[in-house]
Order: sequence, then structure tokens, then C-alpha cells
Amino acid sequence: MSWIYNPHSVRYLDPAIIIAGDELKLDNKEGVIWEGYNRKNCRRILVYRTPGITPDMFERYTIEGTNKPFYVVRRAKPRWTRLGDYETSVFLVPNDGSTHNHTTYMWVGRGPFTPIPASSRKEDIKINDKTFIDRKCYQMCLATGAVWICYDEFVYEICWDSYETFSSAVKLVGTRDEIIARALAGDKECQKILNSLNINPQQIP
Amino acid sequence: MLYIIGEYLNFKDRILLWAACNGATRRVLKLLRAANIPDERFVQYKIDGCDMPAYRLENATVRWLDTSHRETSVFITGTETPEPHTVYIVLNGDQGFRTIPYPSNPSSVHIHRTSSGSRACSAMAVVSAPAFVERLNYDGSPRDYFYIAKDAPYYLGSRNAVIAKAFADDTVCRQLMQQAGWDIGTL
Repeated sequence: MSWIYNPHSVRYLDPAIIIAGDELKLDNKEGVIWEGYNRKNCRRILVYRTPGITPDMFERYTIEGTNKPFYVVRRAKPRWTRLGDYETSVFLVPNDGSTHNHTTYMWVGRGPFTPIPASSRKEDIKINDKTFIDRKCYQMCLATGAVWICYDEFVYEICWDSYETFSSAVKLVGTRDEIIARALAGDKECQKILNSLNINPQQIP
Repeated sequence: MLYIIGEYLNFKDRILLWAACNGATRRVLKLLRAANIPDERFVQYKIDGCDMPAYRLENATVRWLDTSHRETSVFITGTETPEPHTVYIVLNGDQGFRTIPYPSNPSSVHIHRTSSGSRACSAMAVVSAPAFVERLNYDGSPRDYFYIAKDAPYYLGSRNAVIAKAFADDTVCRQLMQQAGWDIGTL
């Protein structure tokens, strides 16, 4: 199926990749737009822009209510390779929609986070690698379905529906306290997040 | 019934009602409410004899998270049926407090956490009634006492006031005197 507009199947309009969480270095000459590396013998995590993906294809947005950026690259898809415990590389390659027509989601962070597939399907998360030493940590997650990202005190949602504009593809769901407060008020989605995070507030016996 | 005593609550925030932390490396104490608990549910309550703030909520209970990364969060949540037990959330952002169990309710304290700094010691506890609360001074000496009963909180006054009332045959003060183990000299 082509990425060309099809009114009966708008989900396939623009297979894109959404990268959120950290600034990307689009001007890097070797094409490494994000790198997580601490020192020798630690895993190196790399995100590459292949020659078919030019810097002007990265649309930069800010997650509403935060100063965190996210990027949308239309007509792109990821390929990846993992080299034992040493390296994880993700390559952004052009995508004409013929073999891969879904949006993919990435979160890159300078700190540990927990990705939760919104569908509860663990196989939606293709890569979730981190490299850390002492208190310094880099982590990268690649998912083929919508994910919640629990990062620091905050929970973000990466989810795009072709009916929405890309600018709202990554949202701040709330702080951990807000999520718990909503879950305790009966919000099913927040309860799911808490269950996935194994957070279960104690109660009077 | 749920009572919150000790500190004024901040209703400007949707969720966070009270928080205390006495230093960057100290425990953060938070009192929060579930998203469906509106301001109107908090009824201010006057404790006779003192100006300590108190609030009362019907059909509410508490849940709490006590995380290893130095954070304790107590959440007020709604219940569909009236709670059979009276529960108190005791807060103090000044010098903290101790709880003294009531003879018939020895394990009344569900959680009691403090955030000690160089000049202050904030504290928060979830306590089932009945019990006694002893507020502390800067040097850790007792300041005054409260009886948190099943029906309401009562102010008992300073240690000497409690002893005087106990000698006047006040049952509650006698209980407190016994439980606290005060050494009263006699001829």
C-alpha cells in the first residue's frame, strides 16, 4: 500500500517515525543523530540518519507543557541491529509505504525510563536498551505501537492517529502522582499504567 | 470517617494538598487526593481549645505509597459506602509528633514518616482511632496532646494539663497518663 492519500484508509497516509525525549544532532556529518555512550565496555546506543533521510525531513515539535522536543520523520522507518552487549544501532531509512505502513515510535533519553505498550502487547516493543554507569544513563526504546513512557516523575504517551496532527503525537499524560490520583478515581488507562509499573498503593488492612 | 488534622490544606492544586520536605536529601512527605475528590468534601472542623486546623471527610479512606527513593505519598480516595473505621491523617510541618496507642487499639499506626532537617522535623501519619498524639517542641520535648477518638479529635492540652485532668478523674487523661508511662511521684 502506498503512503499516497487514500481516503478509505487514512491510517496509512503517512508512515512516519516519531522520535521523542531528547534533542537530535541533525548536523552530524556521520549521520549519528543521537548517541548514548558512557565509556569503553559499556553498550553504545546509536541512532543513524541514512543518506535518504535528510535533516529537513525532521519536523521538530515540543511536547505541550514541557520543554522536551520530539521529531517526526515522514516516510521513514527504522532498521536496527544489536551487536551483543556492545552496540545497538537504529537506522532511519526511507519508506515508501510498500512494506511498512505503520507509524513507529522511539524514545531516547538521558536517564532511565520505563516503556509500557498501550496495547499490553510486549512484542510492540522492539528495542529497549540502556547503557548506564554510576548515575549516568542513556536509554532508547523503539516500539511499533503506542507506548507510555514513564520518565522521571512524568508519564508521556506517544500515540499518533492519522486523524490528529503530528504536533500532538507525544503528550504529557501527567506526573506519577496525578496518574495515581486518576487511577484511584477509577480511570482505567491510569490503572493500567500503574499495574504495568507495579505500583499498588497500600491500604488500611 | 476520615479526619485530617495538623496543617492547613492547599486546595489551589487539583491533587496535591500538602507537602513537606526539610532538605534535598530528606524524605518528601505528600498528601494528595484522588481526582474525584472535590474541595467541597473537605469540611473544616474546629477542635475545642486549640487553633489547629482540622478537616472531616465522609465516605473517604486512604491509600499510601512509601517508596524507597525517600518519598511518602498518602492519597485520599473516595469510598462508595461509609467507612466503618475512623481514620486520621496527622500532619505536622513544624517539629513532628509521636503517637501513643490507646489501650484497646495497640496497633493503630499504619504509617508514620518524618522528614528531618536541621531546623524542623515534618511528620505525617495515618492512624486508626482511638489513639493519642503528642506534638513535639524543637528539642523533642512534648508540647501538647490530642486524643483522636472515633467520634472526633479532642485537644487535651499540655502534659501538666493532662495530669491535672487525670487527677480530676478524667478517664481519657488517665488512659493517656498510663499509656505514656509518666512517673508521677506520690507520698
